[in-house]
Amino acid sequence: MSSINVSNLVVKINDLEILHGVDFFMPENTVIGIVGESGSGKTTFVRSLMGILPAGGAAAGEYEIDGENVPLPGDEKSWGNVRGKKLGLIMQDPFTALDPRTKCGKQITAPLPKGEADTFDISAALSEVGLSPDVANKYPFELSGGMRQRVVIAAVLALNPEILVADEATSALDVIIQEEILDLIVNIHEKKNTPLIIITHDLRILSSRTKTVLVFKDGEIVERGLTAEVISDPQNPYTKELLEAGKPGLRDVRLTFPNSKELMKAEHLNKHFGAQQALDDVNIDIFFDESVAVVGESGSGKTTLARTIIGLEQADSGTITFAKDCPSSVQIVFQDPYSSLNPAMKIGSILKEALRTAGRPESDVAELLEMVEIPFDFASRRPAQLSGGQRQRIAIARALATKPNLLICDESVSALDVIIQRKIIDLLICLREKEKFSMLFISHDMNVVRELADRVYVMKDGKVVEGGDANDVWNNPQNEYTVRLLNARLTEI
Amino acid sequence: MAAAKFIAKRLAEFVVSIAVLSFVVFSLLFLSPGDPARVLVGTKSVNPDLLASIRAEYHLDDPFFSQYFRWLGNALHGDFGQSIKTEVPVTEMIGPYLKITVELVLFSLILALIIGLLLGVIAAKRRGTKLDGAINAFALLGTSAPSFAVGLLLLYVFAYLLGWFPIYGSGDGGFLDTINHLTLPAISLTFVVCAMLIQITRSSMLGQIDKDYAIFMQARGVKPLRITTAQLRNASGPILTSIGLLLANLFGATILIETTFALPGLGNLLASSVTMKDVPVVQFVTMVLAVMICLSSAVVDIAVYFADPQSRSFKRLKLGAES
Repeated sequence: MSSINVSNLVVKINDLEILHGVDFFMPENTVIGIVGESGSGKTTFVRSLMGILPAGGAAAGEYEIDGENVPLPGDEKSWGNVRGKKLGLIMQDPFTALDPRTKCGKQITAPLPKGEADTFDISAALSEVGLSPDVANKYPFELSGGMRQRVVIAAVLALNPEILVADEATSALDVIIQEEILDLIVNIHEKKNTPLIIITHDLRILSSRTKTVLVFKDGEIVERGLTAEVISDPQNPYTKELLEAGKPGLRDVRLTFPNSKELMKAEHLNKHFGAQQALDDVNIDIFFDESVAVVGESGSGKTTLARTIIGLEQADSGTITFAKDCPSSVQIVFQDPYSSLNPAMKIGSILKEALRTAGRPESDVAELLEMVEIPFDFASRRPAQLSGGQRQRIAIARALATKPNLLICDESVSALDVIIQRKIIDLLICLREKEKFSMLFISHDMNVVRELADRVYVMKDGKVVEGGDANDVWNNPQNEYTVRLLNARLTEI
Repeated sequence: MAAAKFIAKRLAEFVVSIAVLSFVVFSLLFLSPGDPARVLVGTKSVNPDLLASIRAEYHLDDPFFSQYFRWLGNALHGDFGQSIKTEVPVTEMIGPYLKITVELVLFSLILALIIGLLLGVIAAKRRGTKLDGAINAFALLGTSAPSFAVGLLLLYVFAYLLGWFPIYGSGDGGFLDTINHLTLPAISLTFVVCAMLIQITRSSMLGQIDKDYAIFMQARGVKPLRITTAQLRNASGPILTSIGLLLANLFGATILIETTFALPGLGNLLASSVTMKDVPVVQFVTMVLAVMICLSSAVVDIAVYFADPQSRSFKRLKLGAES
C-alpha cells in the first residue's frame, strides 16, 4: 500500500524548464493514466520521480512516498531506496530496454545484492510473467517483442516495487500482443495491490484500463479527473482535441470514384529470408484511384510486400505487372520521419532532388510545400528543425514530386502522436482527391485503415488470409485472425 | 555453422594477404637501385668471380617469377637465406631480437589498454566536464606528438635528469631488469596508441550512455559500475577492432623507438640491415612483422565476432526485414 505526493515539481534540463510546477497525488491502490503528446513532459515526470533524468537534468519541489520525504534533486544514495524498490518502471521499447549482450536471467537479477542474486528463483519470476524457465539462458535477440517485454516486467518485479509505472509499455508491440501485456500488468496490479501509473497516448487503453487520468501538455497538467468523466465531458480545449483525434473516423468508405481499370497486379509472390517465408503465394491487385490497405502484425510480411512492389526487394518468384499505358511510377513514404530525410540536406534541396528525378523544374518546390501545407520559408531549414508531423509532410511531398500513380505508405502515421496522426490522415485523404493517385497503405492499425482504405488485405505469416471491400471486412470478418485483430482494436471510447 | 564459416573466411583472407606481402617483400631486392648481385655482395670487395658465383647461388639470371617461387618455396620450408653480414641463416639469428620487440609491444599494449580504456570511459561518463576536456586535450597531444620525440623527452627527463631509468639497452634478461629497461620505450610507444584508444573508447562509449537498457538498469537501482561494464561490453566492437590497428601501429613504431633507446629489437635490426643492404635479413624481418600484424588483426576480427552473441549464434534470425 503506497502513495505518492508531489507538489510544485519543477524539472529543468540544461536550463530549459520542462515541467513547470506539477502537483500530483497518487492514492493507494489505484490506476492512474497519464496522457499527452510527445514532448508534453509525461516521461520526464515519471523519470524525475526516480532520479533518472538525462545529464544536465535537475528536479526541484516537494516529493513524498508513503509520507516519507524524498529529497530533490537527491543523490545516488537517496535514490537507492526509490529506484526499483519504491517505483518500478516498465520501459516503452522492449527492443532497446534490455542489454543486447547479457542473458535475460542475469539481467533480471542484476540489481539484487550478490547473495540474493544467487538464491533468486528465476524460473518462478519468469513463470509469473508467462515465460518458460529456459528464457533465462537466452539473449534478448532470441526473443520476440512480446517476450522481451515480459522479461522487462519480470526484471521490474524482481525488486518487488511498491508502485508500478508503465511508460507506453505496449506501444512498440503488435495490437494483439499489446492486449496480452496490458492484461499481465493489470493482473499484477490487482494481485499485489500495487498502485499503477499507465502512461499512454492511446485513448482506448486509457478508457479501458485506468480509473483516473492526468492530461499533460507543455509540461503542465491541464486536466485531471475520473477517466470516464474526462472522456465523456472534457473541460480543457486540448483534451477535447486529443479525444476528437483519437476517435475512429466514421466516414463512409469509397469516397473516391470506383474505377475498374487495373493499375497493378501482383501474382504468386514468394520471398524467403533464410528459413522464414516472408511472402507465401501473395496475390493482390490495385485499381486506378483506389486505396488499398494491407494490415497485419510485425512479421506478417506486409512491409516485405511493399518493398517488393517498389523494387527494394526482389521476390523469389511471382510477377508484378503494371497497366500498359501507365509508367510504373511508384513512390513510398516510410514509417519513421526522423530517419527518412537526409539530415544534412535542407528541405528545399530534398524536394529539388526529387523534382529533378521527375524531370520537373526546381521552382515547383513552392507548389509541393503548399500541397502539404508547409510554409515556404521551411525550404531553408533542415529536418532537425522540424517536428515529426512536419517531417512526414515533407516525406509525402517528396514522394508526390514525381506525380506517382501509386503511393505506398508503409506505417506512415504510426510513429506520430494522435493529433498529428489525425492531421496526416486528413492530408492524405485530401491529396488523394486532388492529385488522383492510387494508394497502398501498410498498417497494423485497423482504425487508421478504416479511414483510408477502399479495400483491405489482411496478412499473417506471409499469407493473405482475407481480402475484400473495407466495409465488408470491417463489419463481417470471415477469418478468425481478422476477428482477433478487430477485437483488439475496436474498444469504442 | 556460421562461426566456422566466418573463421575459415577470415583465415583465408590472412593467407592471401601474406601471399601478396611475400611477393612485395621479395620484390624489394629488385626495387633497390643497382645490380641485385652487387646488393647481395654487401660490404665485401667486389670482383667479377664473386658476382658470378652470387648470380649462380641466387639464380639471379632466372626469370623474375621463377626466382620468386623458388624463394617462396624455400621460405615455406623455413629457409630465408643467410645474412650477408654474419653469414648465419636469418631464421637462427632473429630469436633474441624478436623477443625484445614482442616484449616491448605487449608491454605497451597492456599499458595502453589500461590507461586508454580507463580514461576513455571516464571521459565518456563525464562528458562535457573539465575532466573530459583535459582527457581530450591529452589524447590530442598524444595523437599529434611523434613517438620518437616523446621518447627523447622521456629519456632526457627520467633517465638523464632524474636518473630513474637506464638510458639505453635491454638489460641482463631478468624480468625486473627487463621491465626497468623497457618502461621508458614502452611509455613512449604507448603514448600515441593510448591516445587513439582514448578517443575510440570515448566515442563508442558515448553511443551507449543514453541507451534505454542503461536507463532501465539505472531505474532498477543497478550499481553504476555494473552499468558501465554492460555499456563497455556493448561498445567493445569498435574498441576491439581498433586494437588490431593499434598493434599494427605499435609494430611499425618500434623501428623508431628501438633506435631512440638503443634496444636490440627487430626494428633496430631492420634499420641496421637496411643500412648494410643485408637483403635476406630485411626480407625476413619484414615478413615476420607483416605476419604478426596480419595475424593480430585476424585474431581481433575473430574476437569481435565472438564478443557479439548475435553473430555467435548459428540461427541468424532475420528480423530486419519487417518492422
